[in-house]
Formats: sequence, C-alpha cells, structure tokens
Amino acid sequence: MEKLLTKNIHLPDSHKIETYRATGGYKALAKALGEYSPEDIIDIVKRSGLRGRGGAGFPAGVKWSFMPKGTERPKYLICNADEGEPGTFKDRVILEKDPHQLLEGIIIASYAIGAQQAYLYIRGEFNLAIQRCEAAIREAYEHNFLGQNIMGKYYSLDILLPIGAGAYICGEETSLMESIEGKKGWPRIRPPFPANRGLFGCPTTINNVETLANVPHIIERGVEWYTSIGTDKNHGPKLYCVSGPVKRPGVYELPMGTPLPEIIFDHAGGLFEGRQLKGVIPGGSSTPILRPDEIQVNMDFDSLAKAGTMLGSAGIIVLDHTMCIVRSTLILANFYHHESCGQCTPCREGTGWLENILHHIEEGHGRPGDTDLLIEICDNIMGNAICPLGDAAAMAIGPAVKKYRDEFDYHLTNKQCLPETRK
Amino acid sequence: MSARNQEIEVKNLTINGQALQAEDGTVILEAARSIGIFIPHYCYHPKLSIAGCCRMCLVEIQGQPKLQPACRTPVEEGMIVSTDSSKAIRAQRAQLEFLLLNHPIDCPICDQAGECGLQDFYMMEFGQHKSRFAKEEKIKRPKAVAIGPHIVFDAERCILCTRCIRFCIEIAKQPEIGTKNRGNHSQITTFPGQQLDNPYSINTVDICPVGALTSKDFRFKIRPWFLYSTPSVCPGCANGCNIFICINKKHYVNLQRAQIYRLKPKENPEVNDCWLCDEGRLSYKLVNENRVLQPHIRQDGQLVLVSWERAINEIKNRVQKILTEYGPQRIGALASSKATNEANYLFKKFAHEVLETPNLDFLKGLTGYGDDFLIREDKTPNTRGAIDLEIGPGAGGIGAAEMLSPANPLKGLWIMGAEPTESYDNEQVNEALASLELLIIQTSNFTASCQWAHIILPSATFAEVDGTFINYKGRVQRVFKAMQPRPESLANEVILGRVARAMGYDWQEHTPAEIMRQIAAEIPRYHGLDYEKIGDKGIQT
Ligand SMILES: Cc1cc2nc3c(=O)[nH]c(=O)nc-3n(C[C@H](O)[C@H](O)[C@H](O)COP(=O)(O)O)c2cc1C
Ligand code: SF4
Ligand code: SF4
Ligand code: SF4
Ligand code: FES
Repeated sequence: MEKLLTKNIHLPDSHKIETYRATGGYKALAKALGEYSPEDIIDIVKRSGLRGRGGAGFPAGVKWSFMPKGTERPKYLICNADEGEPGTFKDRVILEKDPHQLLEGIIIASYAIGAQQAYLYIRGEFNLAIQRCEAAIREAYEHNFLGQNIMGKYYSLDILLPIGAGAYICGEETSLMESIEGKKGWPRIRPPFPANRGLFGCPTTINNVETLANVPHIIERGVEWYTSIGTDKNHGPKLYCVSGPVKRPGVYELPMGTPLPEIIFDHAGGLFEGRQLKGVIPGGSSTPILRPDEIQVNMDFDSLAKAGTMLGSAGIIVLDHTMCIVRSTLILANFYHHESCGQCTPCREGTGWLENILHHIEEGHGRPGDTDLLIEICDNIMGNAICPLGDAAAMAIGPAVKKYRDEFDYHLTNKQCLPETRK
Repeated sequence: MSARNQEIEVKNLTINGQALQAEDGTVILEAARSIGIFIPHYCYHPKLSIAGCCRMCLVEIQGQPKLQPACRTPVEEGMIVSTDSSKAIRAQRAQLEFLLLNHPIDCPICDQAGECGLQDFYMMEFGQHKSRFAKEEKIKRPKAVAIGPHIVFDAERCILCTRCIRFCIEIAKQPEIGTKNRGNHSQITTFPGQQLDNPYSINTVDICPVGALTSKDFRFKIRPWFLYSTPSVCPGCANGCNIFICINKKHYVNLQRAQIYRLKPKENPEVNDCWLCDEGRLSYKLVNENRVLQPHIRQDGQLVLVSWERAINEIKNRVQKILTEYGPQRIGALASSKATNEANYLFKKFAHEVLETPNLDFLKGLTGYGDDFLIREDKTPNTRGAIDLEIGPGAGGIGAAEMLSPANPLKGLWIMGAEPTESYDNEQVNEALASLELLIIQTSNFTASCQWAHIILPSATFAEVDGTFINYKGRVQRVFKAMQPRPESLANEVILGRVARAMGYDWQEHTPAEIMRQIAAEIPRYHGLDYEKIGDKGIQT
C-alpha cells in the first residue's frame, strides 16, 4: 500500500512546514475552507467510515455530528496526544516527524465542528514531540493556517498545547478535560457526554492523533478512494506498533484489517531465532491476549472483537516462550495499580489486590485458589467501574490467567517459574 | 390533563417486581426508597452532587448489559429494575469486599461503631465477612490526625466516598480538602497550609458514612447506641436550625444523671436541610457548664446559697418595699430574646400585673458573624418572638437602653435570661447596675452581671423546657424538654408563677402549651396556633 500517514517521515526535516508543503501539505485545508461547508466535511468524514484510532473505534464523523448546532456556547476540539497505553508508540511518530499533518487535520476538524479553540494535549514525557509541535504551531500561525481569518477565509482558530504531567488516566477523554481545566485527573461519569458538556462545560469533540491525521487525506482524495483501503466497515490506513522479541520492531503503516501473522512475520520479520511464539497482545496492554492458535485474525475493530479481544491502540506486544506469563501479567497489574486514579472502588482496590496476588505467585508464595481468585476479582471489576481503566485492568489480567492457567497453577504448585522462563 | 400533570411527568417502572410511579428525574435509588426498598450506598447523599464512585448501588436494569449505579440513573418509563438479582447482589458483595480490603475493621475502638454504614453491611446484611486479604498487608495510613479545630481524621477507615469534599465545595463553599495520590494510595487531605475549619465543618462528621471523620468534641465520650434524642431548636442564633438533643440514656430523661453529649441536625428543608453550624452544634455546653444550681442572696456583700422559699420570701419583701417607697416607675423589667415565647409572655404579664411597671423591654444578646447560608448575625434564637409579643415599654415607661444607663431613674431591676453587657457598654452597665437597690437576675448560667445581683434565681435552659422560638423569618418552632432541669433550677415561667402567687396574685400554674394558647388568642399573628399545629417541623407565620 502507498504510504499516507508516514509518507514524509523519512524525508530530511520532515517536521518543518516547508517539507510538508512541498509534498502537498495544507492543500486539503484550502479545499476544505474553499469548497466545503462544515456540514459537508462532517458528511464526507461520516461516509469515509473513519473510525477513532484512540481505542474504541467510534466513527469520527458521527462523533462530530453530535456537536450541538446554533449554540452560543464556545465549542472545543481536543486532540488526544497523551499516548500512554503500554505497547503503543504510533502517535509519537506523527507528533515528532510530521506534526503539520496533524495540525492540518485539527484545523479541518475544528472547522467542521465549529470550534474556534483547539487543544493539543500532549504527553509530558514526549520532549521532542512537544518541541516539534510547538515549532509547527508557530510556523502554522506564521503562514496563516492558524489565527485570524485562516487563508483569508471567514474562519479563525487558535490552538493551545497543554502538557500532561505523567498520568495514564489523563489519556481518558474526560479526565483529560479535567486536567486541562487544572483539576485532578479523575474521569467524569457519563452522561453528560462531552459533545454536550465537555471542556469547561462546553460542547467538545475529542479525537486521537492518528484519527485526525487521516482527515486531510480523506478531504484531499475523497471518500471512494479512502473506502477502497481496508476491509468492510474498517477503512483507511492504520499504524500498527510491534514490540517484543521480533526482528524488526517498530511502527508499520498498513491497510486496516491486515492479518496479524502478516504483520508479525512478514513486516516485523518474525521472532528472534530460536524463539517460539507464546502469545500476542494485539491492541495495547489493555486488550485480551491471544494464544498462538488464535492469531489468525485480521487487525481491524470488528475481526478482533469477534476473536474476543480488541484493536485498541494497535499496539501489538509479542511474547515468546522464554517469557513468564505470571511475570508479564504482574508487570501489567503493577501498571494498572499504579495508574488507577483511585476514584471508584472496584478499580482502586481491585487493581492493588490483583498486583498483590500476582506478586505472591511470582515470588513463590501464592496460595491454592489464587488463580480462581484472580479471575473472580477481574470479573468483579469488569463493567462495574466508572471509566474503562478498570475494565482494561480486568481484560489485561483475566484472559491471561484463564488462557495460561496451567502456567499459573505450575507456579502455585512448584513455587517457581517454568524451566524455560527462569531468569 | 391538569396543569399539575403537565408540569411533572410521572414514569411507571418496576423494582424487584413491585410496580411504582416516580416523578421524571428521580433516580432509581430514591424511587426504590419510596417503596421501602433500600439500595446500599455510600457516596450518594441527597443534598450533594452525585459522585457515583463507591459503586455500592449497582442494580440490574433489564435490557442493559452492564449494571448501573442506582444513585445516578434516572427512572424511565417501563424500566424493569432489580436490586436483588444474583448479578446485583454479587456486585454489591464485591464492592463491599473491595472496600474492606484495606479497612482496619477496628470497630471496637471506632466512634462510628453503631452508626456505621460499613459495619451495618458486613455484619448485618452479608454475614460475618471472612477476609481473603492478609491483615498484615493492609496499607498503613495515618490515624487520628487533627485536620481542623473540630475534626479528627482516620485515613485507614476512609472509603473515599468524597462526601466530605463535596460538602466543603457545595454546601460550606470553602474547598479546604481534596484527595492526594492515586489508586489505593489515594487519601483525603487538607490543601497545603489549610485546615478543615469552615464554620460548618462538623457536618462532615455527620455525613461521613464511616468512622474516618470524627468530632473532637464527641469522640470516645459515649457509644452512640446509648444516646437518646429529643427534637429541639438550636439556641445559637436567629436561624432556628432544627436539632436533636442527644442525652446519655433514655431512662435518664427524668433523672439528674442526664447529660447532653451532642447536638445533631434534624432535617427540615424549610430551615436548615440537614445541616448545623459548628458554633450552634457546640452551644449545648451552656447546659452542662457554669450553671446556677441554687437560688443566691447577697448578704454582707457575699452571695450565699439559699432555699427557693427563702429567696421568694426575700423577693416579695424587697419588691414590695421598692413599690411602696418609690412606686412602680422606679422598677424595671428586662426579658430576653434567648427565652421562649412562653417565658417572655408570662414575664410581660408579670411586669404589668406584679411589678405594675411600664418599664419593660427585652435584651437582644450578642451579635456576630453571619452569612447567607444558615448563620445569622443575631446570636439569639427568639428576637422575632420578643418583638411579636410586643415586649417593650408601656405608656410612660423606659426601654432597655435607658434602664441600663448610669442616669437611669431605677431603684430595682429584674432581668430574665439575659446578660446586659452582651448588648450594652460594659462600663455604663456596671455603673447602672451598681447603683441599684435591688437587682434580681433569673438565669441559667453565671454571667458578668451576677456580680451586682442581690438575688439570683436558677432557671432552666432551652434543653430543659417545653416552649417555642420564632426564627428570624417568623417561623414558630417548638423546643422539647430533653431532660429535667438541673437540680433546683426551674423553668422561667414556673419561677414567675411562684413569685406571683407568693405576692398574693391569683396566678394558675399553666403549662407551656396553655400559655401558647393564650398567646395565640392575644396576638393576631398567632391566631389559631397551638403545639399540635406547630408540630415538630414548625409553622411559618
Ligand atoms: C485509561 C485510558 C487511557 C486512554 N489513553 C488514550 C490516549 O493516550 N490516547 C488516545 O487517543 N486515547 C486514549 N484513550 C481513549 C480516549 O478516552 C478517547 O476514547 C479517544 O481519545 C477518542 O479518540 P478517537 O475517537 O479518535 O479514538 C484512553 C482511554 C482510557 C480509558
Ligand atoms: S476505573 Fe479506575 S481509573 Fe477509572 S475512574 Fe475508576 S478508579 Fe479511576
Ligand atoms: S473521610 Fe469520610 S466522608 Fe470523607 S471521603 Fe472518607 S469516608 Fe467519605
Ligand atoms: S446557624 Fe444558628 S441556628 Fe443554625 S446551628 Fe448555627 S447557631 Fe444554631
Ligand atoms: S451510591 Fe451510587 S455509586 Fe456510590
């Protein structure tokens, strides 16, 4: 497939506006402002079938159409660049290597929903990305792609670049809004939904970096072209992140719905010599793990849902036979325990308890029944928490315990790891 | 369709098989409560915004894959809810287990024991809980931290329901506390350099569902299950917040062993919702401290204890002496905005009939901090009542200011239930009182002016009498006798009756209820009122 999202990243100074414009950048914006009304753009994006790349796969055009019309209240667009999901590093590539592609998407989306203020909420650890985005925003202002009367048209937009302070939960859309408002990152309960009462209580649309980076391409080349990429109801290019013991880990831009084995074995070059596949976490740490016999699946939202897991952030984490499943699950439990915001009971207490039990099993003093207890705790968190972080913890741990139960029980009986996974 | 029906839409739904109707906008938890179904909850409080964080109230709604929090899910037409399905029960048990995971379960040394939502549940509802989490591994946190002048915080017992935080933001309007840290290390904390010291801080103790916030004043004094509560009205200011007076034991009501241990808010949406200010809440101390417990007479400059008989005899002689030697123009009578209407009404009658004087007024007491929530600047509970009863100088009489000025023409003065220096200049008052031939003070507590008194009569406090106060908005509310008057002290109206009879007047002994009926007959504003009509919620006049 022709590269779209990553077509510029290997060019020298790919992050600069000159490079971006030399390869046709900001043409889509000119087209959007010159030829289309905001409603037209929402309609185009709806028909393109673009689904949110932040995890849930919600159709972007539909989300935009929820924004109330004819309200006096200010409207906001937020670009979610908090990218904190373990195993995920796709947005970072765009932010560092091609920030103008994202800005163009943000401006078009803001125009479509009628926002005059946009926020690019960026993960605090992304130093280079922050610098590059800051510079790109400055350049865009200088070239009148931002600010008053953009490209001489009757549309104005300002953008701010709030920087996160290091909390995974602030990638969740409502706690991200709390964070921008200067409050503690505690998710809000829905309803009300952000389209009605979002940032500062005003109508707000929030999209992932990759989602917005798709927008200029759709505007420029049209719905038919876009829907020809990918599989049924899962259109367009997709950035897949591959990590773990593979020969060529990294970010791969491939059509939505590319088969998982093709990504791991062809593009990422397969596992290190002598390693056997033990499992694949397909969509970032929060998605249920797949056993080797389950990996014949297309990497799109619907196929993975059918396989009992999720596309999530498309962070493909590969595990090989030398890796202890108890230890890797413990690492994830530690992460969710550390990142739980502490607001609601099941996640606050459940994540700590999961880590505690896994720690005991890994250290060789697990108790009989611990495997079932882990599963029970996950079931008790699942669906009962305020935000999806609780569910994420349950999905990262429950299926791993169920699918690798033998290995957990081996730890309980033998008080140590399987021979091949010992350090 | 009537106008009313158009205004409030009613939804039909079923909870646990029981059909019911609820107004549009009602949350499931309240709808269930209306038909007697209790849904466990910790973070929900009807007077606060909805946090939805404890997850105790999860219920099953037919057609919805996930359980929903009953505290924030509004009723809908045709909704079928079950609070006791196996899925809902399982979720409730799970939340309880989560909450108890790091909870110390130190009920034996916890002040909340007996009125603790957590204890109620795991003991009563779900049976003795067997922990699947090792005790040694529970997270250690600070215990018994004074986070404000009135509040002690135990972080181990806190279940992070955030009621206290929401109270400070939404009701007290002073955000002084929040949470710090994340996950199960989250902890309630005061903001840097601040403490929980808003004027309403002790309400956080009432609404804390567990023993995490305790009142410095009340902690460790008594187990709540011993306490016996009587409804009443706070004497702390003109707002007239409704309270419960809690004494140590039910059968102590008629015994001298009765002690007030605390005041609690009594819900009244017309007055104080379910809140009290800290000052009012601690005002009960006047009942326990510094009481005048026997009549006193000044002899050779010293106050000596005497019997009621002797005191009344003395009053009779000395009042008569002043009346015959100087005439009624030279005697004054001061009632009080702290006294009940019944006492003030009788005092007025006493001044007119017994003292025969037009020099009548009432003392207004202290003024101080007030706000636009509950606390009034007028620190007495019944100014409005004294005004409505027209406690003031009659034809040719003088008022309080004149009576208490050094140039006053008085030889004798009778003060009931008030301290003049609270409302008038100290030195002027002292000079005025020092010049009197006879100063009779009828009071429950020793106050500054007692130093000039010739006779002091011990009277009962608001907690020891039946009567009514009228708040600043004109709402008549009843105080109920929560305990016997302290030894030898008597209700003001009883004292006045005794003196009147001793002086040869044909005064019947009237109960406060009877006096109220006389008031109602006499004062147009209160026509038709009696204790029954006033009830325990009061009546707006
Ligand atoms: C705990 C948690 C962390 C999240 N972190 C991110 C993130 O880092 N970046 C992101 O785009 N979405 C993240 N999301 C998803 C967002 O809440 C939101 O769904 C997304 O930004 C919407 O964008 P989209 O519709 O374009 O996918 C997170 C969600 C949860 C529950
Ligand atoms: S699920 Fe976890 S992260 Fe989300 S609100 Fe509850 S405690 Fe916070
Ligand atoms: S201190 Fe009490 S009211 Fe405050 S959060 Fe903790 S349990 Fe809730
Ligand atoms: S506001 Fe006034 S009446 Fe209410 S509790 Fe405080 S002092 Fe008492
Ligand atoms: S009472 Fe409903 S979530 Fe706490």
